[in-house]
Amino acid sequence: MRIVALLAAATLCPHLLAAQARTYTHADTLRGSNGPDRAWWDATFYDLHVRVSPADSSIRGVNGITYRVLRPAREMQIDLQVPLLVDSMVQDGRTLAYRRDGNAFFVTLRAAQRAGEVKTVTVYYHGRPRVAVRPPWDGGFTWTTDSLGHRWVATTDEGLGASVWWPLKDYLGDEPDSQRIAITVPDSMVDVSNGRLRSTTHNPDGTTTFEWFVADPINSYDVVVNAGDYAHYADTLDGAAGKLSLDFWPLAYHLDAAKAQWRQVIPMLHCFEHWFGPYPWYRDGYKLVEAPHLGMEHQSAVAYGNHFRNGYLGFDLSGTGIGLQWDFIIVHESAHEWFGNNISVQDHADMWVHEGFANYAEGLYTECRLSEAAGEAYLIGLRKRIRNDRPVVGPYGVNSDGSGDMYAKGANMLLTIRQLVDDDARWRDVLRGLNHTFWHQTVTGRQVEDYLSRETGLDLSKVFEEYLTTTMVPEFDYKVENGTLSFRWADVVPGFAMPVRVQIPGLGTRWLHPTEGWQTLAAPDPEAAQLEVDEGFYVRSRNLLAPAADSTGGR
Amino acid sequence: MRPPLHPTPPTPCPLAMRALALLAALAAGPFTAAAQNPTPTYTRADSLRGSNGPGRSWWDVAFYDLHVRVQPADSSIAGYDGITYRVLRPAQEMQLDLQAPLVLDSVVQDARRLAVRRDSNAYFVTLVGRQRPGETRTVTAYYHGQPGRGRPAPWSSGFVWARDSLGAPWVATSDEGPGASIWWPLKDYLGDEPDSQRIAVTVPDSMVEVSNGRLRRTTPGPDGTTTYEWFVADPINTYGVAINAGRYVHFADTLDGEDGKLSLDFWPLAYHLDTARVVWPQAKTMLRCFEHWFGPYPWYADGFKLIETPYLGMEHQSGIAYGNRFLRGYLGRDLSGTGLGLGWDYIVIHESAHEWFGNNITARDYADMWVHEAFATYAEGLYTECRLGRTAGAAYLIGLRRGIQNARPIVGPRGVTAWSGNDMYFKGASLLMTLRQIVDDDARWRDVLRGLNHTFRHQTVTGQEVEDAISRTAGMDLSKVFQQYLTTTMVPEFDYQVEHGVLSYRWTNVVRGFDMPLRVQIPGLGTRLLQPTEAWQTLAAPDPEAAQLEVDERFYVTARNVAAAPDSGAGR
Repeated sequence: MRIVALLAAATLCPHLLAAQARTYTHADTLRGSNGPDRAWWDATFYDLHVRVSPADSSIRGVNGITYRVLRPAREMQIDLQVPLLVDSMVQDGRTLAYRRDGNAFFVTLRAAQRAGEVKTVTVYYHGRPRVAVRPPWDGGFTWTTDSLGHRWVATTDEGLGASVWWPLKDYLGDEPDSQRIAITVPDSMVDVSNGRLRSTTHNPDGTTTFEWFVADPINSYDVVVNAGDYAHYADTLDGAAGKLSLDFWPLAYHLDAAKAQWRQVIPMLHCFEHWFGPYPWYRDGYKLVEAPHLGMEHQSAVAYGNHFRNGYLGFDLSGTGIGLQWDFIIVHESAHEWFGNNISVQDHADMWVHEGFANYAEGLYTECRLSEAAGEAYLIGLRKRIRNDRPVVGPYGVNSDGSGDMYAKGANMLLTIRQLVDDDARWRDVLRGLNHTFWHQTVTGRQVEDYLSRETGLDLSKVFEEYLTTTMVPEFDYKVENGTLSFRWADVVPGFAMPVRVQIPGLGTRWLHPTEGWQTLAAPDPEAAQLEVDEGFYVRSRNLLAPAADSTGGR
Repeated sequence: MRPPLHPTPPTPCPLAMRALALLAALAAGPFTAAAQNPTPTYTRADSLRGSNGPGRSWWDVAFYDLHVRVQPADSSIAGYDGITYRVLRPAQEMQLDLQAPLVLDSVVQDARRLAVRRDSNAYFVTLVGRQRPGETRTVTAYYHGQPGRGRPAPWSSGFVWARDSLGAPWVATSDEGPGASIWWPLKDYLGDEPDSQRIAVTVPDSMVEVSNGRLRRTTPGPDGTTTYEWFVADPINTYGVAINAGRYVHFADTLDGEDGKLSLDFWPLAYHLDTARVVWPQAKTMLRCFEHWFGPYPWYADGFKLIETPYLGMEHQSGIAYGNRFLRGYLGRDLSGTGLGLGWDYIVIHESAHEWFGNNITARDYADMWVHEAFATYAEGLYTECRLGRTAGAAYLIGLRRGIQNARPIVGPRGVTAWSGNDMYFKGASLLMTLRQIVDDDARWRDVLRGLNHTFRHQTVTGQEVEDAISRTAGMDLSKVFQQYLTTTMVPEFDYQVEHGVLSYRWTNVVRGFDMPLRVQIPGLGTRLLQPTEAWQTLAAPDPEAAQLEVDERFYVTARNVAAAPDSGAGR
């Protein structure tokens, strides 16, 4: 997803807030589930053409939806959000009847839909799309001007959905195999969308059409319009899968600033290719595009609005100072090219797969740049942002996220798992293996969890259950009496048996295997009660014999 | 001691260039010309200054009664020092130190002027009265002149005659390198501290003077001057004695410390009062952290003070000199390159740490100055740990390694006041972090650090004594580790190879008998402590990725897969 909203901003995030105490409607289910009018067809190609008119904040366009028939059916669900209007829907040269149910259109197809066939429905539409109120945290069009007064237009729609500005099957679990994005804008503007620019056509009416082509499956919420007074420069990376083109699109007056700040892209890509495997979109290239909002992981065209500053708008989310060593938006949003765009979840409930890993990737980038300890210290610093208000995994099938803890708690769960693996070579194999196994695919969180358990050789199911489905933080309870250390887990799901590394005076650093029941260990050193749990584990520890106020809380 | 020299201006430039600039700056070395020369020749004057020679060793300083009149108008001083001493062995010739161009006017004992022979910056005084062992006697040395000016404070110098930004005179001393004798007469030898000291400084009425210890009285003079009489109740490093005179204001606080109520006195320039009130309270967090790790603050009798100075900073005992411009980090920069160093004020943290390592425990010889600087730099990591956790503290110290040069051993030549370079800071701190890994028991490691401050409380020591005490408390023989890191420029190299499922490993680049244990994460075997020696040892390691083992980075070593191409992993 988009970046975490800073501090109190997170509480303002409308759809996160909504998920807290909301009852889900028929519309939510239509939007968030793989319903009967979606499941029978598989989108293979979107041929999207949109004319953008900043003068009256309107758009008009057409999307040719090519699909493969999986099962015979006659009714198709197409999503397009109010206030946009569908002008007509056409198949085989004949207009189709449809009925509107809020933001969903149910189209009655005339021709028989035979399994295995590839067919196309073309949807013509127009209107004034929803204006984004607080991009990138809500969706729609941003109609603005740059600081020199040039028009600047951008789209954002994660969560709300791409159907806020174009008609499609707005369901995370179905990505087209490729897509054309042809955007027509006034001649004074340059449009930068995803993939590669195939053609630029000057039209007689003072407009120009920029035809972009995405050669690989793309998340619908990644498809983007960025139109403004852009400049361009390019570079090439000798990457893990060959030459990777890097294209940079700052506003013209930010060219020099971008050339300095965006150099971080190269060490970032090297670092993530090391840990995650090859960049997933060599065919489409890597791009950074300046945007009038903070940033967003638009596939092969990462949106950047961090004002060319390190940190998160100049802040360090970890509170350690380490986060000011690099540009948060470059690092975090680009990490989504692997976790989010290459591996995409089918349901917003599992969004930790995007955000937990992208947040964890910030620690890995710190590790690449500084040291393993610095990477870990950064992630530990993020713990103060964990609220444990709701479980990380949200309700399924209603297009709803879990807690904002999917970022920092998700990252710290991964840091904890790395401790359990205790084998960095294998941990790297696991991270690379995820990207290899689920290459260009959509997944469930469960698939990712099972993969991690299988490839680490550890049964992590209770660990995932604890950290993802509850708001508890495991507490390592202990006491030392008469030379004997007793210890157990408290605040855990039944059967939780995560090993933990503890430094015990007199015994050195060793692995313990606590369970919910008390266990004992001879610990004759008089200072044994001053044991310390390895900080790499996101747990709390409590000496039951210490004065209540003196127990160490998890950071 | 003083902070490491880092004079490059904080201009924004790419990170890599900044790192290079840092290294270049560090390569320049902090102060003595001798120290910059890889093969220095030491003179008779160096030996007179740095050794416990025959004119020094027979008497033990008990009290300095220093009176100095400071005249900013012509940058001159005039004063006298009543030197009270105990006779250890009978002798008639006494060495006093006072550096040119200051002039020693006379030396008096029992109301009689004594004959004096000068030998460079040393004066040999022929005593008339018999010096019987056990007796306590006093000689008084009168002097005046314009004290010498060296390189910029705090890395050399003596007196700094400055003006604040409003044009008011601002005077401060700093003399760790050249020695206190650059501005007052004494036995300028680290190994002999007085039991207590008076510092009475007369300045023009417009100035406030702040020295060490506690202010006993303020006496207006008839000639438009005021005398500030300070008294230090405990042994003090001679280079810790300081004059700070300017338009100071004062605010105070109290810490509930391990030994009771500790007075905190803050002396910023008047126009920095509001800023200081915001920035300096981190001294309380710092004191709590260091009392936890090092034991009680050593100078409850004299209190804790921060005094603004026209130079970067210096650990003047119970009167820390502060010139960090109220910025985070080291003049706004982070020596570690991690960002962690911007979480606190370098001068408040580093110089205050010297109250334990440097002032409480003082090296007798500059050769062992790592006892001051390694621990004070390590203390920066501990302060980071107090604030952000152990991992962050380690990350900070690992980051500092980029400043290590390994050009000369940390322990320098003895008896000649030689400064051996900056590795005593960063490499010394990494040595201590490595020791902590070996001990693998933070409670015991804390006992080691507190024990040092308890055992050597208010004492001067040799490096060897400190090394032995650490080995003793840790319960392990660390002598080879100290020998390796302190007396050579070699970084231990962990050589390894994996063939046919067998891991072979050994130490190279080490002193003979080096047997430091090492924590290594080995694919298939997890993290374990190996006991490498200079000879190859083997371990079954059947995992196909075993050669991707990783040495715990908190050990300051390098690792090399000898079976791999030259592109082997080197330590940071």
